[in-house]
Amino acid sequence: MELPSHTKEIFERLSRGNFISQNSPVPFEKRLFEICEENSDVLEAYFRPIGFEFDYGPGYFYFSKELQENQIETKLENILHLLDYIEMFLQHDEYFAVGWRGSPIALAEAATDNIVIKERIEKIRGLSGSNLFKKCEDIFKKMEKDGFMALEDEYEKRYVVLTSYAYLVDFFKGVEEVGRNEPA
Amino acid sequence: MQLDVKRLLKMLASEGVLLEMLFIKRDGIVSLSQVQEFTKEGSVERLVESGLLVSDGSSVELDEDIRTFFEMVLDSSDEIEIGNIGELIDEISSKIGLYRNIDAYDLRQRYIRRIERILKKIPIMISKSLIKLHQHIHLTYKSADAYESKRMELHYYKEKLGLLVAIDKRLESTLTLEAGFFKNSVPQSTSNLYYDLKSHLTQMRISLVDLQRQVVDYINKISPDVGFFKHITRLKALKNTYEIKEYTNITQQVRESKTPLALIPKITFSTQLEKEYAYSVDFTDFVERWFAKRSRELPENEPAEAIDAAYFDDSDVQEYIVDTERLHLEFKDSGSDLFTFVLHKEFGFEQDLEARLSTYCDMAGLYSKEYHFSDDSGLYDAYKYLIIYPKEG
Repeated sequence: MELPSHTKEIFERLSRGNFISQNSPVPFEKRLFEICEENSDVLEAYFRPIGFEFDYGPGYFYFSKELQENQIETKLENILHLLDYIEMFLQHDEYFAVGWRGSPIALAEAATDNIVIKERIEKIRGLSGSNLFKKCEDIFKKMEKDGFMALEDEYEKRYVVLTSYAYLVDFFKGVEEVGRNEPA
Repeated sequence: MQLDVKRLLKMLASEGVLLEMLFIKRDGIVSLSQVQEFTKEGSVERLVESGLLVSDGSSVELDEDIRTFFEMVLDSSDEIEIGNIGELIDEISSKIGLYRNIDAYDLRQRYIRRIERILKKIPIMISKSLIKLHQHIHLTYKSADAYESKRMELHYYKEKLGLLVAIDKRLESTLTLEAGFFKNSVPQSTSNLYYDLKSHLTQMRISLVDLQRQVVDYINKISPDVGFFKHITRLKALKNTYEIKEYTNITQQVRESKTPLALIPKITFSTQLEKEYAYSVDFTDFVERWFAKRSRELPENEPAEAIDAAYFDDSDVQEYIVDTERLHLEFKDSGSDLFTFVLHKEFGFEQDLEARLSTYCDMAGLYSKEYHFSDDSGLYDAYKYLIIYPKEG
């Protein structure tokens, strides 16, 4: 099997639970995306025997795993945690989507002026920041850690929403209300 | 100051460094003091008088005509000037009209040459506009920060594309109207330019439609997804009231959707393999061989012979087991020390001293947290034992 260049780097990123996104601000990441796109069949066949499903969505690649019964609750919990983040970001800016740019300072400023956003931030569990700005920083870092945002400008602390965010959009679009009778 | 071509060229040549600097910085503000470094004293005033530069007393810039001239020659303008094409189309109709109404050969040739220049110029202008629009649209979509300004810019380019479509229609209409003129009344070279332009328009329409589709797609992509926002707000409300699992299919969605590693706990395992080896090409073969081997079904074991029924009749085995938990409860209520209790306990089956000693040790070990191990010891049949009591309470 003729492996493409940088297979090692692709494996290292994906096996750590990261996504490889088309709009990453890091040029090397973009290059890895191109390699994945050009060699998806080869990489899929290469990674499968060692237990990694090489999957993709529009503009992103990732490793997926077959969900074990005891992992369902964990996945649900993580997803619901991310729901808090997404809803808060949409309250902040209805244009929040792939390619959106923002910074903790702008979010903190918005939260200072908008009680709804501030309340949302206060209620997000697991934020260790001691003040509003630190909490906003935590939010962006968490999104970065989960692979849905990347730091685009270190000096301005500006983040960009990556194409991998489309996974979450697709997931939530697939969630439908069921089992409640319409009021008469 | 009135300039002729000779003087203009001379001035351009002698002030080349200054003009180059002003052209490079044409979109910024250049102060008078900055300009002085690039030329001799009095030159700026002379250039302003000649109409090559414009100054408001504190800053200097190139005159609009000179700037446009450089940009046109160097093709470096960012402006998309579609309106000019419309003027050229009007001029075609006008020159054809004049040509038809004048018999003078020289004048007719002048009009023909002008029409030819316009026929050459229009496809170049259309191509440049399309290329610039293409660049601007992609650049705006990919780099502009603020969504609102991005949306406004994309709408602006969409309008420009609309203008190009209108220009195309006007041009097509003019060329159709004057088809007889271009086919029958003009020299072959003009006629060829007419056919070139017609062919160019056909190709341009394909690019134009693609670009229109692209810009609409970009505008749609950056438009807020109101439906999604509402949907997320609704899901969040259900989450807040702990109803999301009950009233949505989210659990099913969790089960059925693909699961990125980021959403489940990390599984770590170690192997004896060198990391570098794991990434080598040999490793691929190794993994494939291993996988093929693993996938093979294991041979089925042959069943052993049946056991003779007589074996069960002859081998009736009975074994008594001490119920330590029950013994522990009894001991706690006995008021005795553990050794004495075990030694005198009536088990209902044969228990020799060795077995009782073993039970004493088991109990001491199993319930050590609930027993008090005293410092005193006793002696029984040459066995020294520790005196143990149950803890009180």
